[in-house]
Amino acid sequence: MSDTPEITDVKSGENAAANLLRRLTDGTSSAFLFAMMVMTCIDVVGRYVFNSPLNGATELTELFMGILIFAVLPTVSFREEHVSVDLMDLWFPVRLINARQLLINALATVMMATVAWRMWIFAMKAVDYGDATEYLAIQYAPIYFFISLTCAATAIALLLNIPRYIKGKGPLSPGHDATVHDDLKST
Amino acid sequence: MTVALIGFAILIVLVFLRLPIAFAMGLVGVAGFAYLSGWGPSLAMVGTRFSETALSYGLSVVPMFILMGNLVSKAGLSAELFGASHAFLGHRRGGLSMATIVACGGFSAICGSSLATAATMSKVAYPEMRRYGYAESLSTASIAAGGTLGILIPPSVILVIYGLMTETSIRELFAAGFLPGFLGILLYLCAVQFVVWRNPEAGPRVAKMNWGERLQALKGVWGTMLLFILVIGGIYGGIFTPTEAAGIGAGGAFLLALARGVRSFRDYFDVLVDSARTSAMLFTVLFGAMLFSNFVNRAGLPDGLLNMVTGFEVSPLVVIFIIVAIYIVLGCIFESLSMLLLTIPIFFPVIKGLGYAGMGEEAILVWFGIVAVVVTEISLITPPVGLNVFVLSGVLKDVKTTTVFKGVTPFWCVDIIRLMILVFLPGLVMLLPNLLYR
Repeated sequence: MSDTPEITDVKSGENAAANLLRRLTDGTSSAFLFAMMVMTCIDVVGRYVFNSPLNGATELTELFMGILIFAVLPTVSFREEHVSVDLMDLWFPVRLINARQLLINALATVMMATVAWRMWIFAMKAVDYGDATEYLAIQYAPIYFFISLTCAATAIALLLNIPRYIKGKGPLSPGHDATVHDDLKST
Repeated sequence: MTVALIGFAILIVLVFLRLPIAFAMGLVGVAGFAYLSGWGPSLAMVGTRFSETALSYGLSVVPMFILMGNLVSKAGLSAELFGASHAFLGHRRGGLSMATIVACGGFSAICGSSLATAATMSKVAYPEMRRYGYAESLSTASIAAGGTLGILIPPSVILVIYGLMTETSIRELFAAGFLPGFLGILLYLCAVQFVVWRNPEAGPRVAKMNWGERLQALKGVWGTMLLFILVIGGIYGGIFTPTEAAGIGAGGAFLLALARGVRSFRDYFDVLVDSARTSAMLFTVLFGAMLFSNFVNRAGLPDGLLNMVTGFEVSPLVVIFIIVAIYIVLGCIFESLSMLLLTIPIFFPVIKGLGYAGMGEEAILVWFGIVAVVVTEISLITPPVGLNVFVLSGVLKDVKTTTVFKGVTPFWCVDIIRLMILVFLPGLVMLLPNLLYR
């Protein structure tokens, strides 16, 4: 047994750059989730206690949610935490797991790249039409671009899983026992 | 309709090959829609669906309820809940198991997740039951079963999503879930009673506490009670929208955690990240489900089913039994939320026009939401794949899943009884919504 600490664990990331990116996205997403909570509380307390609601809180909530969901999507995908059915795992040949996951990640990469592309087109249209929220008149285009870019980042994250499976070191590779059920906490 | 059925078959195959459910639904949804209407409209749908879903005010209730649940788990309120029910029930035979069930019910009232309830309770209740020599099968089964209450007793994340998908009032769903959840607690208590009646050694008595000690134990749960009354009372009374209630609930849970000595920034950061990730996972499934349901509707599956049902002229009860049977089978394959998302778009037009027990369209959707969630609860403890059981054996390393499944059988049986009661007595489900809102 060596005492060297394992710097790159399978679930959280491969190297310092990925690590930094993860912290950044995690931080963004938690900040917006926390802000959403505080804002809702201020809005409600303001309305009932001080008779002055926070105007436009509803619109901000919508935008915050888009940010918080899509900011963590690349990490969730890199860690392969998406809900999947593991019923066949007992019968699935172990030596084919890496190949299977490689194909799944390749397919998922194409799909997320498609979403990124379509969201980009959608965002461009929003620029043309100048779509904005009703009350605060916040432009929709930037958030659509954000969604497009994070979907592209998700596609890259999924793509990065392919070399990991070639080396047999993906999140679900045999021998890397990841706890699947931890990821399902909220249902 | 044939196209839809082929699509459904492909979906099942992809899911079994372990393609994440969200991606499988999205792929079949987009490709199927393209087959029927061309790639242009199908791909255009992607942008619209993603932006609509991600920026929907109604759905913002989801991350905040998840945050609330994670915060109360972190705050360690489960220990006090168990302590209080222990003080009142511990002296009975099987009393600690009963206390576990009641504490699970209480925890469900502030947390919308079954797996979180089971995971939290196993850390608190299991060591106690083991200390007093409870049979392993009984102690673990009462946690696994008690945990299933989490998704029915409001606030419930699944009911929120059901409400948004079927455009049913979330307030009414939350009101409707209350009595069936309470019935669940009572029936589980009967199940414990049955187990200790058959085998008194399974759950020995514990020293009785006096009223002073009991009141002392009750003091520990006022925070939980307050939070529940604030959130659910606020929704029932129409003071908050569900989103506002979730925000207030999360804020309240945050203050409770602070008051209970969770002080490190790291802890809160972890809870926030965890909640955000879970929300992102749920939303991905939701995106997939939206795309899939577009395709299924375009292919005319719901209408086809509806025509088939009306064509056969079977009684509504038969239709309900068939749907429930389908759910029980699917529940063995799919994770609960995915199962509901997948089936609701197909079944709900059929349910809506069913005219069962003289309920109108609105009422029958509320009632069916509760029935569907109860079936989902049952699937959480059904062998061989009940997820709660696996959560338990993940937390308690030395317990075999077969032991838990064996112990869970009586609980599973009373669950089936409860399901029958809810199907044959829809009035029980609708009592509270009717009282409050009609």
